[in-house]
Amino acid sequence: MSKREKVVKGAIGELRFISELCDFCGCCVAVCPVDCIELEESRLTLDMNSCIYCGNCPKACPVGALVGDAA
Amino acid sequence: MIRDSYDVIVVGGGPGGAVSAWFAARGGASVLLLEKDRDIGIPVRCAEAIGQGGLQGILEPDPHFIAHEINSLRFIAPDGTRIDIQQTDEVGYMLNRRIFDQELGRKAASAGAQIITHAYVSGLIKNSDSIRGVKVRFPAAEKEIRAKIVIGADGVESRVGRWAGLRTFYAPKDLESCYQVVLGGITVDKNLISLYFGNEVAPGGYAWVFPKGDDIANVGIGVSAAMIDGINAKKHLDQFIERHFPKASILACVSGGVPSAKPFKKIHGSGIMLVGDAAAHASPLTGGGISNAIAAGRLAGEIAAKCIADGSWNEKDLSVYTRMWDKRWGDNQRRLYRLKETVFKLSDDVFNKAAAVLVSIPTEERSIKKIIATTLKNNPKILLELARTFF
Repeated sequence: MSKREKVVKGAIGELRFISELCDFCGCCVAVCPVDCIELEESRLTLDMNSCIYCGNCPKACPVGALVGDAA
Repeated sequence: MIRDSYDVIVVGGGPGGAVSAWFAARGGASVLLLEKDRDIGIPVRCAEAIGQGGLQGILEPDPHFIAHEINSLRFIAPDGTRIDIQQTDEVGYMLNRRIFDQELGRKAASAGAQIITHAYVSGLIKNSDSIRGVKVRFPAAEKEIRAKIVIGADGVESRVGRWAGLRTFYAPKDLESCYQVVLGGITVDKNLISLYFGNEVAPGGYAWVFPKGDDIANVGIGVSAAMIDGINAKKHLDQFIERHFPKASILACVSGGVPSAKPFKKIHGSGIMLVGDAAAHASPLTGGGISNAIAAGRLAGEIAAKCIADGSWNEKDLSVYTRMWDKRWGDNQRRLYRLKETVFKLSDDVFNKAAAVLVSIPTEERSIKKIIATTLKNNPKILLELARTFF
């Protein structure tokens, strides 16, 4: 993690998961700084109690299955 | 029959995991490999190209898993200028990853490793300072299995490293968010792979056309996760296909993340090693990761077997893995990372100017080396930017 790209808590206000679009590729898991996403074969689970709404996973999702709404 | 304990448990059945399991088993360790998906090799989240050197000492090239050879590269600048390079000295292969991965799994199994699919590792068993095994979810059961050493080869979405306390997650700028389709109904030169650059095409990345035959290709796009601005990888690829292959059929599609990161500081701990995309081993510049994962897997497997034979696998014993990996590949990875930081920040204008100079080199004299030399001579701005990458 470089100095220029800090994890910002609450950078987004809401996180929506549109499960129909998800391809279970794991991009979101790779960029989650608090490890709150679990990916099994065809199941993605978000632990919203741990989520810090940093906005990394909507950036990384190749298919728009994770959407961050404005803070 | 699954036992309650093994010397080595490998998490993930891609090339890095299979080769780790193979060489650990060959060195005499009892090995269990756990794959979360139903099949080794499926789904294929990969563009399937590998340099010839990547197979050396692992598998003999075999038409069973090699679609064909690659002998030319084409770079396409933002303005459409094509720069072709005939690769005479190093040949690459287009793989059939489904078969290739199965082949590596078969080698691991023949060496004595036990492989189980549909086995999701949901956590690690730890005591105060070391890893003692894994928690596994099977379709109809859960189980704790002990191991002296766990090798995390669980891909870019790795959690094994984090559970072990290693810092392994990717900053968005160090992850290429990718979408790929298998296109049919097209006409391509099967021995030529093409890479398209430009901020419109793929901000912070590139689009690729990797043929698997004269009428079929893996066509994909990777964009830097930090540079996605409302247009995700899939949308970028839709635009690309509409422009270049409007009549093609889509035979398959897949999304995925490709690491483009600096090496992690530490890829081992007490009773744990990380391999492949789980350890940022892919090339930060090209995203190519198969040969790197295989090489690291072999190293990790051999070290695991030796530590088991010697009877000690603590943090210090396994530190040789991080150290040897860094000695062999660390400097190159750091150089490629600096190069990536430069190349993907070039403006389309600078890119186009460089391309204009490069097409003036006669085709038969083009090589990667010559191209870099000419670029430097003719374009001081790139010279400056490239120079920064080497220091």
